[in-house]
Formats: sequence, structure tokens, C-alpha cells
Amino acid sequence: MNVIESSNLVKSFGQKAVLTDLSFSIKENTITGIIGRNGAGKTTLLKILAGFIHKNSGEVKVFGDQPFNSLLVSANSIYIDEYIFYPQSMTLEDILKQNKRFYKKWDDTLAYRLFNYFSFDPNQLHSSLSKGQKNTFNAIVGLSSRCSLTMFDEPTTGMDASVRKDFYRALLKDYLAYPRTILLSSHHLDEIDDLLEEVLLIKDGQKHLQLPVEELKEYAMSVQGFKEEVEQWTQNQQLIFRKEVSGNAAFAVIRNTFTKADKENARKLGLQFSKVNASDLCVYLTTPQEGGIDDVFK
Amino acid sequence: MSLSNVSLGETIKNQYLYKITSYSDAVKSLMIVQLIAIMFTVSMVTSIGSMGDGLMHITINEYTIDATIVFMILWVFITSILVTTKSYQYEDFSFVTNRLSSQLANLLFLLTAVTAGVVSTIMSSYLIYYIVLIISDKQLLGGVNILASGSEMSFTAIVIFLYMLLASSAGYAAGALTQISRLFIPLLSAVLVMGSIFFANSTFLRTFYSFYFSESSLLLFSAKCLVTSSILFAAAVFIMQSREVRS
Amino acid sequence: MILNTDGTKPIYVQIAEWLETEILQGKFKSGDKIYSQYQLADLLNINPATAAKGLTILADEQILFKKRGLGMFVADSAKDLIRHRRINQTLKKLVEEIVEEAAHLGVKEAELFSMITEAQKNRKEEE
Repeated sequence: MNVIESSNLVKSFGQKAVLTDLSFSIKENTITGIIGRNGAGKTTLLKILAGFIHKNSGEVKVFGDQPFNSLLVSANSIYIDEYIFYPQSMTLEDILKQNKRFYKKWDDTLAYRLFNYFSFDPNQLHSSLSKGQKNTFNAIVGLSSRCSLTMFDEPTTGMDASVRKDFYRALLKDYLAYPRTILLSSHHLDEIDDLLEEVLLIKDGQKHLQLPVEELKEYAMSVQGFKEEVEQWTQNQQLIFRKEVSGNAAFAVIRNTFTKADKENARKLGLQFSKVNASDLCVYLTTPQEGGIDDVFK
Repeated sequence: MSLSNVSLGETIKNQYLYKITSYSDAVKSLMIVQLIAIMFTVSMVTSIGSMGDGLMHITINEYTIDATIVFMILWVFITSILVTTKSYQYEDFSFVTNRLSSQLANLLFLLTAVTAGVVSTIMSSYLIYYIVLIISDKQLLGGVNILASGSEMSFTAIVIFLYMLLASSAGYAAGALTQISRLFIPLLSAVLVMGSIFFANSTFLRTFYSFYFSESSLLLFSAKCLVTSSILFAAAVFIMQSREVRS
Repeated sequence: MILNTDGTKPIYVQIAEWLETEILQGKFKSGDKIYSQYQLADLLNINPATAAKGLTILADEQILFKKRGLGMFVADSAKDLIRHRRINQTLKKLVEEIVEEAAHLGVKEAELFSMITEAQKNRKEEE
């Protein structure tokens, strides 16, 4: 069963088109990474799913319901990011208590265990937390709410490395015990790829690809060698990315669809193959073909 | 997948309880405004008359809670605008809600605020009496019953309630308009200021004034106030129904 | 088990190989219930779908079999199957590579054999 279904979703803010034509679906009880460059439309998508903002056109359904003004969606989903609004006067304990009131599946025991583990002070004000602490606290709320659709938008910004690790571990453990649909948007795919089942890569407001992580890891290969040889060999390949390394050397990323004969050919041309990990691949896939950072210095 | 089912009523109740416990600014400002109003009233005493024959001297001072009422109306007006602002709207959406439940919980909260305003105003009249009793070196005639009889008091309470309700709905509607566009802030202010300058003696304003403030029948007055505030609240709820949050 | 996450070998393949080794070493015997995808996910800190993929590989090779609602169990012939395949695929490939490399370097057959004998002797001494 699909928890989210979106087809031809369009959203713009004034003149600025953010989502241009986004179609995808998310299966129940999966952890999906929403990946893309800044401004690709990740946050906009999540806010539409949370019922915060309108779509301009297209279709979007969460639990079979239009999310905007849907109580069903609100009661069964939670959107966690750094900027979540809580009244200035509320202490951390107050916030936990209020969440308990609203979310039927809220787990108070888990909330307080995590709260104590990360050494929060119940009387502290949310507004006085540092960026990393805020994200950690918000993540506790997100996990403890046990919502059927839990959305984390860049949840680990500002967290130090050990807290990040703990958070991802807590997320996995609680997901294993209480399977639910989790969306995780992050810049750091390399940090979360083991945790994910699928990756939804968004580029220019559209779905660029949606694949199981394990397939993404084998989606492409890179070749390196003399410029001419690289160019010659990649002509018949599905090219993803190419750049000149220095003077006469070149580096190219291609789809992993070549034959054994192709590979033998490449060997003869002196090309060297290497694996491309999922995180780098997403960078290559979303880098504009013309004009990488190197061109700035030309 | 088992989804949690929630009803609109339940959501409104939860939102209301959340607002009651977390909008401490409103409570703090209510107490401050009441204190200012009391000090204002005690210091701004009007002497109605004074007489004496050498042996005895009687001064009649009038202390009215008019100032408190005005302060309360302003307080509820501003509080009503405040709850329409972005941060209050956004906070609701950190929990379970849709726009309708958020709005209706706001209305319940404002009704509670108005009620708290009325009760504290009535109580302040007693407080003022005892303050005068303490600070005055003269002997006071009469007791608390000098204030008003029970029926008079409830009459006063109803009228204060209705005025505050009117102010609250006006503030809420004005706040909702400014959520559509910031331009409504200068626009509404201009209409108010210019209107009162240019139309001070116009029949329109006089009719408007007498419609609300010269009504002698409590029943009719109540009806007018309730209908007007309902229309204003309904308009605001309608406006806010399609507002985006956190965009 | 420590996963190698540098991307040279898919995680589910590593899981399958690890479980094979566990079976070969007798940690799981024929008829034993093996880890569930959720236990593996918890153990290795990975998504359960990835873990399931590792189990599926072994099920496809009939090293594991599924009992509905009970989980995955080690097949009777699991050990033989693994041994057989490892000899025929992994070891054979390694030997081919050794022979290839020896040819490149002009190492004679007798020399190569003595190198293997030497390596075996060293291994026995270490034990």
C-alpha cells in the first residue's frame, strides 16, 4: 500500500517555480531518503505533505487524503525540522506534555528515556537551546510521536558526530520495533544510506530517480584515463558526468550498463574503473553538465 | 497500518487546552493591565461634591471602573490581533490541527479571555473599594454594598462582556485581514483615523455610534453585539481557512 | 561482523557471505533458525530491506529455507552447498588469478607448487 501518492505536483512561490512536475509514490513502512541540492524542492515537498502549504496543481494524497486541512493527515503525520514553532514560554517538559495530548501513539517512556539520555533539563526553554540541541530535542519529539508518517527535514544539522550516530541508531531501533513510513531529507546521504530502503532524488523540482539504495550503489561506475580515450570510450555509454582532471586526463561517470566487451575495450584503452558510492553519485547526477566549480577558475 | 482517528471536536478541545496552558503572555498582560487600571482609577478620583458645617465635613468622591473597562477592551483587542499573527498560527501546526480547529480553538480561547476580563474587572471594583478604604484617612460611609446590587452588577458584567466580545471580534478580523496582506495595517489605521476626523459629525458615524452605544434595551444590545461579532469572527475564520503556514 | 561500507561489495552480498561462513564454521547447524531480517538490521545497523536481500540470496541458493510465519532455517545440505560453490567459484577463480599472475611473472609450475606448499606449512605453524 502506498502512503504517499503524488502526480504532476506543481508548486511555485510567486514567480519562483519550486516543484515543476513531481510524480512519485512512497510505500508503507519504508524509510526513504529525500535527496537533492539546496533549492531542489525537498522542504517544499515535505511541507505540502504535512498540509502546511497549498499545491498549485497536480495531485497529492497522503493516506488517501488531500493533506491541506486534513485532520487525518495532521493526526498521523509529523514534520520535524530546525524551525518548528513552540510558544516562547513553554519549557521542554511542557512541550513533551502537549505532544502527548495530541499524538495518540505518543510514547512517553521513549520520550523521557531519550530526553534523559541526551541530558536535557525539563525546565529549559525551547528558545534557549542551541541549534544542535534544538534539532536533537525536535528529533526526540519526532521519534516519540510514532506517527504513521514521520518526516525529518535535515534533522542532524548542528548535532555533533556522536549525537548524529545515536539519533540514526535510535531511529532504526524504533523503526524496527514500530515500523512506520519515514522520510528523511538530508545533504549527507553517505551518513544515512545504510539506514534507507529507497532514495528519492529530486532535481529542479522533479523526480530525477527513485531507487532502492542497494541499486543506487550499483547504478554507475567511474572511468579515468587519458582525455581522448575517455571521450572515445564513453561515446557509446550513458554518460552521467564528465570532467577534465588535469591537462590531458579526464574522469567520467557512466551508467553501469556496459557489456563485458565494453569493459575489455576500456582496459585496452588504459582506462581505470572504480565504484561510485551513492552519495557521490547523487552529486554527479545533480551537477549541471556545463560549468562545474572548476570552470569558475578557468 | 493503523491510523489514529480524530474528530474535529476532539482536536478543538486539545488545541483549546493547549492554548489555555501555554498562552501565558495573555494572562501576564491581563494582570498588568488590571493593575495599571486600578492605580489609574484610584489616583484619578473625581470629586462630585463636598459639604460641611464646621462640625462635619462630607466629601463625595466617585470612583468608577470606566477606566478599567476601557483598558480591558484595549487588552482584548490587542490579544485578539496577537493570536492571528504568524507565530501563533505556526505553533498550532506543530501539533495536530487543521485551520478550522485552530480557528475555533482561538475563538474559545478569546471567549475565555473575555470572561476572564469581565470577572477581573468586576473584582477590581471591590479591590478599589478596599484600597480606598485603606489609604483614606477619612471615615467611609457604607460598605461594599455601596458598590452596586447583585442585579446591577450582573447587568454591568453582561455589558462589559458584550463590549469586550465586540472588541475581540474586531481585533481578530483586523488581524486576519493583515495576514492576507500587510497593506491592511496602514489601510485599516487610515480608515479609522481619517474616518473619525472627516466623518466626526456625519450622520453615518452618528448612526453607527447610536446603533451600538445608545441602545437602551439590553436584549437588543446583546443581539446587535452577538450578531456583529459572529459576522466578524466568521469572516476571519473564512479568511484564515486557506492560509499557508510556514511557507 | 563489521560491514565494509566503502562500496566495493554490496552490503547484502557481505551479509550472505558472512552467514555462509557462520554455517561453514558450524555456528548454525542444519535445521537451526537463522537471524531474521530485523535481527540482522539491528545487529548491523542497516535497513531491514537490505538485510532481507542478503537472506534472499541464500534462500535462492537453497542454503536457507523459509517456514511460513516462523522465519528462515538452515537447509540440510547447506554446508555442502556452500563448500561446493566456494570451491567451484571462489577458489577456482582465485587459482585462475594465481596461475595468470604466475604466467605474467614467468613463475614455473614447480615453483608455484612449492609456494603453495610453503604457505600451507606456515598456516599450520600458526595454528
